[in-house]
Amino acid sequence: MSSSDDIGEAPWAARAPRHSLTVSVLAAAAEHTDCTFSKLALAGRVNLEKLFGGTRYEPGTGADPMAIKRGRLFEEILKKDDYAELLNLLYEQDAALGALGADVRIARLRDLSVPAGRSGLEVRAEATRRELAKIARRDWDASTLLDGAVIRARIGGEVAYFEADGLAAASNGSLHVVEAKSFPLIDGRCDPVKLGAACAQAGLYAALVRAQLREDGLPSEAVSDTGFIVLPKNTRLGRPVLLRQNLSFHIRRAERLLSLAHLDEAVVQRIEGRSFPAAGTGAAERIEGLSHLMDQAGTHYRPECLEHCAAAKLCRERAYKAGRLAILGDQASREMSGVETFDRALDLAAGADPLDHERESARELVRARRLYRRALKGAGP
Amino acid sequence: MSLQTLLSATAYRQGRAVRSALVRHRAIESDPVFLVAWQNGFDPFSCAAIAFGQAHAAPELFLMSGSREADIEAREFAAAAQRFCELFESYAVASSRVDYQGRKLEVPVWPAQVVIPNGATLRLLGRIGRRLAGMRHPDPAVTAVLRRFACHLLWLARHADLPGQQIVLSCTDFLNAHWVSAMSALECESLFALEAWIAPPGRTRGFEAAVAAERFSAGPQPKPEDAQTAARLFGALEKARKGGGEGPAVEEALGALREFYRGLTSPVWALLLAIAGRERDIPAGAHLARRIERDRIAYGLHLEGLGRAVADPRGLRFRENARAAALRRDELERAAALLEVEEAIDDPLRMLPRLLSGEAIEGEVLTCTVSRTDGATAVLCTEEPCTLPPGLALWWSGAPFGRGWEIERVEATGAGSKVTLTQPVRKDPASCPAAGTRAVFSPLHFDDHLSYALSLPARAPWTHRPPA
Repeated sequence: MSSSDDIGEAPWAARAPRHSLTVSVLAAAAEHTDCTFSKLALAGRVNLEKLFGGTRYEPGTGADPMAIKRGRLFEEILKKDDYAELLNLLYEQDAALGALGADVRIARLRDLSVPAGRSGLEVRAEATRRELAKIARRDWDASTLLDGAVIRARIGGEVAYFEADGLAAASNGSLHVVEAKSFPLIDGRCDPVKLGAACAQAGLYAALVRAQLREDGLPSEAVSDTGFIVLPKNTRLGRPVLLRQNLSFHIRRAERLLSLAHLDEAVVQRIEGRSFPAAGTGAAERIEGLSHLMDQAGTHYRPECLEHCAAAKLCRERAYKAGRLAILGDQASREMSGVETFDRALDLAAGADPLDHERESARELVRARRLYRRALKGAGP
Repeated sequence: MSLQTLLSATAYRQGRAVRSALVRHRAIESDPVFLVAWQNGFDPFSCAAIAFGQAHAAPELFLMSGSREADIEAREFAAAAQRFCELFESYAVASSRVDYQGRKLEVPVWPAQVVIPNGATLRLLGRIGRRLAGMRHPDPAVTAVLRRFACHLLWLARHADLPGQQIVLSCTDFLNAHWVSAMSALECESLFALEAWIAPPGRTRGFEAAVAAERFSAGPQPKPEDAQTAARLFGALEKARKGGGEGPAVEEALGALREFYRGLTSPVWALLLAIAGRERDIPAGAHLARRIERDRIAYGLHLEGLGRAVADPRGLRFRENARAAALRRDELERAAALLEVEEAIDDPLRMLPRLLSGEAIEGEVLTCTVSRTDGATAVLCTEEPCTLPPGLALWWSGAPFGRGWEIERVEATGAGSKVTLTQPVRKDPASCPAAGTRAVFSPLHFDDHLSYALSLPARAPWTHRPPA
């Protein structure tokens, strides 16, 4: 899924390089909705990869082109002969989708002859909207398969157009998101992290469609909580298999993300006078500017950010220099509740007076230190 | 967790990782097979390059050129398979007899060991094995060697799940089990970053060294920049092949790919050798010998059944039925329980989690009386209050077998407790703690009945026999 560029500009992002919002950008943002800096970047569509480019915090970006090639080939296999393979799988999977077998109408929105760029996306978004309305109203000529849908949504107060890679299968007024992924299902098992990411993407698609239906005064329940992930089975790419997934959690999460993308007035006031630096400025100046903005807006570094956020390496260094326990992960922070830094943990372990909220963790640390020292001295059996 | 945080905080302050184990809990053979594999982004069941060998020689690198011609692909895999099988089976040259489940079994004197960078490499090997098991070639010799290779890889991937095994040594798992750094679990998956924390160069602090080391990948996934270079080189090879035949253009493209993967492999190879060399010098845990023996038997059994599996690959099961899954689960749970006991007995640091959770007690033995008729009684003075209830059985870590010591009485003494433990059965004085020494009593012990016995005894018990 990708979106077109922008109407209007956020003042804090006026000079910064911008990028189109994609589902991967939104899915990444969903991982750190508690980070104000990240929300500012999302709302202003700031291209953090570009901002960190050429600095020592540059994220390693770019997907493996051979993996992309595999993904495209798998999609081609699914789309062959008017989606015959996919439709068979859907038919086998669910009796409620039985209608697909009888009278299939495919809306190929990608193939509409529209101009390139934003105006083309607007035309496709309008066509998608009409198709969705037909499905929700259960019109006789409603499509059963939507390919290449474009959905209009407001992110951070601005209109964006999302182009869906996924498909949507509809029957009896109910629409199911179908996401094709090329990682394999081996002997009934697949990579749970990748499956989770695929479900998150499908959930985002479902949430955007629901928002669109609500905007048009149509029942959003038309989008089912049940989605399908299509994967190649075992070693061969040409044997797809369908996994039925309950997407309700992912849809709720995506809806929360879409609502959070609107920034609070308080946050905007807090960063007043500060903005993301321009791409053309020197590396040191850019990092300094970003650090100041981080100070003012606030960040919430977690190790998982390294997988999703282009600013993570700078955040990690800042957290390390501050000696924050957060660099170990959420579990360490949770279990050492009240203790923020490594130095404080060591002081408490050595017997420093704990504050009220540190008392429980301090007791544990003192015990751990005493037993550890005794074990090192060789006290054992 | 408080212990983990304490060790991480110490590592943070010292600027280098600290040990979380006093002894080495995994064997590192004197001449293991080192293996590095690089993933092919297009096909998760294949690899772009695989390098392996022993420390005394340079690694042999085999390139899988990603050809769509089945014959080229099979022959490329066969070359790597042939060499791997030779190396892996070479450990079985000398054998000895052991008693195993009531029969005499001829097993290799030493088990093979394959040292790999990380768990992701192991998963890749499993996938390659999964694919090659079903690959057929008109030349029966090629098919046979591919199946043999597949059998080895599938067995390695399965055996690696067994807690405490050491035939497959994943370096990140090994280092994470013996060292603690101020990195998250996610970052600890990078072998280069982990090693940078353990042995930072010069006066560099672990964090800076790890950040610098992150630019390298230990496989199987190359760094994004390298993946793009690989894609470009594979593209050039495909283009050259379209020209027809195996001319100089193809050779040139293959040479460039080989050179590229050699460049990716060499820092990983050097790192694996350095880690194995350094860690081998650390004294091994006392119970390692039992696990080596278990691995030796497993390796012997695998080689014994190899011929059958190669002749008829239908015997290779990829999905377990309910019974097999239950048996496997039982085997894994037994191994995990036994490993925990062995490690805690061998290493006082591994006993700490039990002490911290209050399940074990430690203190000075005030008295220990051993009677020929009444068993033994020990009184332990602990520095911390004992919260364990009377009647609970605990085992002294100096002799963690047989019937346990029962807590008879717990009396408060200032900050700690005075715990009286009794042993109702007659005890050998050597299996009782001496007065004046420090002792640990914990629930960890060696038990033949760690879990439900799934196999019926060979001879029915008298209750189940027909009357004579």
